[in-house]
Amino acid sequence: MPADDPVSDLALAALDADAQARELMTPVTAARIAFSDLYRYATDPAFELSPSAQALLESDPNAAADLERLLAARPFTYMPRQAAAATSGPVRRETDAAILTLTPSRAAPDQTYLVIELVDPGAPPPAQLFARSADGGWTRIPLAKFDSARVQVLLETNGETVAVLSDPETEVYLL
Amino acid sequence: MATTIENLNLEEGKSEALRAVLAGISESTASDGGPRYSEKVCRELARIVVCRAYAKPILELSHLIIAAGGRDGRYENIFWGVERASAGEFRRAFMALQNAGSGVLVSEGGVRHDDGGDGFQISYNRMPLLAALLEFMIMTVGYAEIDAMTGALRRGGASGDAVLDAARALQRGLYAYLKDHLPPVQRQRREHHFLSYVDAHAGNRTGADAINDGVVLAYWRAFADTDDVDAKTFRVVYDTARRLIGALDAAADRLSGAHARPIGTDVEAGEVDPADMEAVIAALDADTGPLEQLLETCGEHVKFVNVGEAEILFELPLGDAAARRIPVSVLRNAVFGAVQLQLTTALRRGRVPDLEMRDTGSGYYLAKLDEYADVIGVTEKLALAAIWPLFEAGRPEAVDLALALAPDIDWGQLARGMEEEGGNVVSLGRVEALRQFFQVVPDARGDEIAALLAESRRAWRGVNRAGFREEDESLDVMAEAIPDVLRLIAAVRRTLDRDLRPHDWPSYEASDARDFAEMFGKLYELDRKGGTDAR
Repeated sequence: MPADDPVSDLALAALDADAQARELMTPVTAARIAFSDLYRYATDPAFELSPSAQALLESDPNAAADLERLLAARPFTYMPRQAAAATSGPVRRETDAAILTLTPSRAAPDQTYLVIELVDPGAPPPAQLFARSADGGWTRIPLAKFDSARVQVLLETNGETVAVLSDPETEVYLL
Repeated sequence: MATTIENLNLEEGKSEALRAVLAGISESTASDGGPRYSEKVCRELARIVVCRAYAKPILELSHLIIAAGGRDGRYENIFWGVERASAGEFRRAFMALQNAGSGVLVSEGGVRHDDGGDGFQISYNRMPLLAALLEFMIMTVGYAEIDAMTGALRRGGASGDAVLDAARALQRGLYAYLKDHLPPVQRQRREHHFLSYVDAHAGNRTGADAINDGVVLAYWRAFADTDDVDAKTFRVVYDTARRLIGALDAAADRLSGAHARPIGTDVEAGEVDPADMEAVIAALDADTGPLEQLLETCGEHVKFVNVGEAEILFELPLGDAAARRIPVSVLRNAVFGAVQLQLTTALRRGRVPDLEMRDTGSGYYLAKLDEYADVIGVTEKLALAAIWPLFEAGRPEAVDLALALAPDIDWGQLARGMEEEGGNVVSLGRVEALRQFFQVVPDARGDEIAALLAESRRAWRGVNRAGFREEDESLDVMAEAIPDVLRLIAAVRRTLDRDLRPHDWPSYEASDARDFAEMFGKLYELDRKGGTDAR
């Protein structure tokens, strides 16, 4: 069998490549969050990212950008950053498709109502709200079933979600 | 030396991002919490990447993006909207697609795209890999970039030229990423060294024919106690020989075929076409043996083979040509490879090993063959037992089993029954034959089929294993495993009867017991004196 035998060359090259492929498939400590998991996160309210995946999403600007692109491709409506900051009072954001308000509860000031009303009562309602804060972090709120084109979510007044939604720099996607 | 280590670290750094992407894809989850992509698909993806054999899959992907994009161009909904990346899920998704793009024809077999030329067909079986490849490209080349490269396709550009342009752009994007992240392939010293030795001792034999039992043993004896290469254990040398046999056979097969090769590939000058390389690795992967397949299908649920039996059968190379090409090495590995493993384990645990060698002429090789036959005999008995619950449930797999386990039975009696009734044997359909089979009443003293069923019922009642008890409720798993059980039985019988039995084993026993004892004494006495690692 001559040293430059094409069969031997091919067999050895294949075994070398196979070894590298196996080596590349060995477990790593910091896997990237898969795009398919981002897709499910964006489209399936029942799907929860694991805590490690959530941390990956927060630390990986590429993954965050991919998620934004996924959301931007299919929103029910998009609420951009607000031009002027409201200093006090209830938060209100409005688009052609929906109105979002944050109103502190009178009976229980530690609770705040997030209310979303659809402009077109006949429109297929959104199932999730995604909020992107100024620092690029994502918050997701699964929405309950709309009743008479309206849905209400009870939030902690001092919680992070209310803080994010109250910030005029925050962008909101309903989908 | 420092420079070499620095280079190694640089190479590792380059590939770390690539490894993180591949890990992310293989760890991605389906909606039931299981893996989204099968291990096989992940392996195929890694293979395509390492071999840089992505030209054809990317062309397929470009056609598929048109079909998956439907009328709005949002291909993501098909690729990642399915529950898991499997052929069945993609079939369901495409069949349910109301608005496939123009020129796209969806059928039970796959998706066809009419690009104005010969058209392009993609089967559902191919789609899990193409989805994984697209996911890989999105995570490496970039989502926005992929969207831009496929923009024309998603905006209705379905011509052959548009597909080719998109495919070329995607290839360029992936090429650029891999140029920065995929380190050069490292030579596997063990295989290269072994094959060089084979070259020098092959005489006029070529390819896998040059690897024989004599060469395997001689190589081990020559290099086991040297620092030239890791060849201390016979098992390592045997495994190297097996892998090379598989690769050389696959390479010879590939190069003898009329596969289209890119212009400019000069195989005589040692150039290797990536598609050839990928095909050879694919052939090695496809050699997964029937035992692995059976364990994957029914594993813990229906124990046609238990753990102890599997350990014994794993000694046989059922999925490749090793038993045919190096039959003596198979048993040398099973017998003396195991002895050596005990020695090294004892040394690793700080014990002085006992050299419990086989007596020359004690018939240990023949006893080993009998052990394999006994194990597969048990599997055959379990297969016989499985006929009964499948028969009772009216499952057609009962017939498959019965035909395979009792081929000499006069199965024509079912057809003759029809002949008497209808006078037309040719028209006897499978459905009618099945109906007649399931009407047979088990009877040990009845005709052959009735007696077989009675024997099966008796065997069933005598088994107490997972999957073989009335309360186990694992009939579906059992039925699914029947083709794998039959393949395993056939493979073991063929390996034993065709490849291993027809040798003068007593003549090997005398010399092997002596040779291996001599080598083990030499190897481990050296280790004890020098206190080096026994591996």
